[in-house]
Amino acid sequence: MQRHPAAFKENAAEALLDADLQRALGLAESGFGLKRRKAMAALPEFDALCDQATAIKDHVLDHLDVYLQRFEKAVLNSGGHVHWCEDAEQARQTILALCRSASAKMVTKGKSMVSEEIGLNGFLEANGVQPVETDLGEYIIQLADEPPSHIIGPALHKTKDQVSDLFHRHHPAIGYPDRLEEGEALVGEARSILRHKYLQADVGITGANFLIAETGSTVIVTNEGNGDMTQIFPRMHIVLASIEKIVPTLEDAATLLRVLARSATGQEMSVYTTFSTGPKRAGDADGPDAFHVVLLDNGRSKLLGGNQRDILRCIRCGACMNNCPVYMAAGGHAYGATYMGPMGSVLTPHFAGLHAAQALPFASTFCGRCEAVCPMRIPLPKLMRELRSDAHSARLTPARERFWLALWLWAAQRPRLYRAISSGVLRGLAFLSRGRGRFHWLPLAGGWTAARDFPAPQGDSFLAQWAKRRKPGS
Amino acid sequence: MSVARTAILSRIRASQAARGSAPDAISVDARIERHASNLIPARGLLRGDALVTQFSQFLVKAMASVASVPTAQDVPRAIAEFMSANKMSGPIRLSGDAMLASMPWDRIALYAPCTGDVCESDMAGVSVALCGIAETATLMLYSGPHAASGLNFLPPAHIVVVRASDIVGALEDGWARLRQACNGQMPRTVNLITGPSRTADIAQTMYMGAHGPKHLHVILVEKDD
Repeated sequence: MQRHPAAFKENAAEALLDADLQRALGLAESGFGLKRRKAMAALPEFDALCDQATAIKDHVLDHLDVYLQRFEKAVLNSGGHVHWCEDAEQARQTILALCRSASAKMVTKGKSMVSEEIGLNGFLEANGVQPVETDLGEYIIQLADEPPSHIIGPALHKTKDQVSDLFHRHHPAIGYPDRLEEGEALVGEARSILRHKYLQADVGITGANFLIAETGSTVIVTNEGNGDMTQIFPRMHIVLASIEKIVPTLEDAATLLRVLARSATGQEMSVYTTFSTGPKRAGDADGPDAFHVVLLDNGRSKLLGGNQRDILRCIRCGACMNNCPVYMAAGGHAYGATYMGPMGSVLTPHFAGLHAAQALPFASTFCGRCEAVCPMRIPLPKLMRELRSDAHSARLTPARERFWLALWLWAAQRPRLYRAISSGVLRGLAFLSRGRGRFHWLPLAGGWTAARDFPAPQGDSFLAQWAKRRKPGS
Repeated sequence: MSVARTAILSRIRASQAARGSAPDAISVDARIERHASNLIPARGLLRGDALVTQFSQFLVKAMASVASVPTAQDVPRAIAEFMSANKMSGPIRLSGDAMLASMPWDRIALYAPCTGDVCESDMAGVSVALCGIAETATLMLYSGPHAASGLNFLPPAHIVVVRASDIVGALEDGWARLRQACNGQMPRTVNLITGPSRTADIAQTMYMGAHGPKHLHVILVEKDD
């Protein structure tokens, strides 16, 4: 797999032939879909909650400058610090400086997609700070030196055998010589290795699902408990979050939490939802001595003003990719970007530039399932269609495609000519099919007929039949 | 204030102006001050006995176990039963909560119950929840001098004591309790816990006890002291 979005087509073709990947995706597709539908069925108010959650985020985006300042003030009042970063480079430098101020050699990390977005691990490593991922999925892909293939299941593309092999390649050197086959034993081995890391780490870095303006709290939602041990035991807790994660109050967070886990894993609540506010207080039994929030913009403030603003409501539940036929066939790595699936196909062009990522808005059949399952009512097909249109206008799409589109446009603006051509083609195809009803091969349609037959037209066009059958006077 | 802060805020304002939205600090402050509840699902509006019944049912659905005892004095015995049923030995680490301090721990000396800093060799941690939320069987705990957050995560078993009178309907009721208990000041850590630790990161199969506790055992105390 090539790790850039322009290679989507080649990557997808490769992915379709990867038997391990297809097996892993098959498990994910059936599992996620069923669990989400069960959770919906158990909560009659789900749709109404989604409407409210959407309204909350829209309200925050309308007043984002005020909310960010209220959040900052509340963090400062609780004894924490806020660092504003315009781009990935500033965020990396800020975090490195904080790690150095704590004389950190090793840092534990909770799962954070923003950390992937800014390429934090490679940067810290190159600067003498060892990052240790503690979410099991992130730990697996850190060993494999791969990026996440799903925003909530980073190692979703790996089979159990592949995890066994990976552990057996890395763990004998640290005192675990056996190749384990059972899932439970693999989880146990990772558990015992990471246990010591939590207690040894100098700094713990987590992301945030939400930032609460009312209290200055950062919120993480996990099932494993790794994000908690990452922030409880080290002396310094750094939270890396993007600016659109703001939620006004604890009550608003309750509404968002009700739709988040149900949309993501089908749970009613994730196991651990943790609100962290400032460093430990005088007399507290445990907790970090220092609390830093690194706020990342990275293009979001600009996105806020354009016609793609709706994507900033995204709460990263992953429902759009879990229900995307393209994602479930190609897998997350095919997208060659931090964020994948429909939400990634909208976000990536804004991060990487449309010239580099124009293939992604085309990685959709526009079946509309992503929009139907999105708890934040993000019109993903519409946003991808706008990006396709932008790519076409900027002449970024292939010249051949633009030529055919221009030809079609020319004909479509001349209805009589268009109907003459289409009915000629229909009759010609019907004649050529010689009653077989389908084609194994057709000129200019090799992409279609390579994998399936092309159905032969069964008569005239819709408009022609309409004209013929319309009763007089109706 | 930093250059980046100024630049980000002014870009946000330019974007808002481009869309014709006018940020309003006064209405934002009023909304925060009011912190009004949004829609609460019917299952979060139960009262009376139905609260405890639903809380217990949903706990089991969340893969936790639950036991009821008449009074706080019966808690140590219930803990011993849980430890023995799961073939676990001590030591048991108790949080500094005042409710635990008055219980007869000498009756289960076999499990070496003790207070103080949690450590890797502890087999179980015992905490007291501020409240239990019946909507999703979620326990609300917060850190302070009385409770180390680490106790909720490090030992293989987490035992949480909650008074039946502290079972509330919805998460919003929990926030009201928290604001009252902490005089409106947010503690360093608030943990909402719904079941024991788990992961599905290996081939979409659920395994319990990923990093946090493999067992979550809730002891409901029926009568207040």
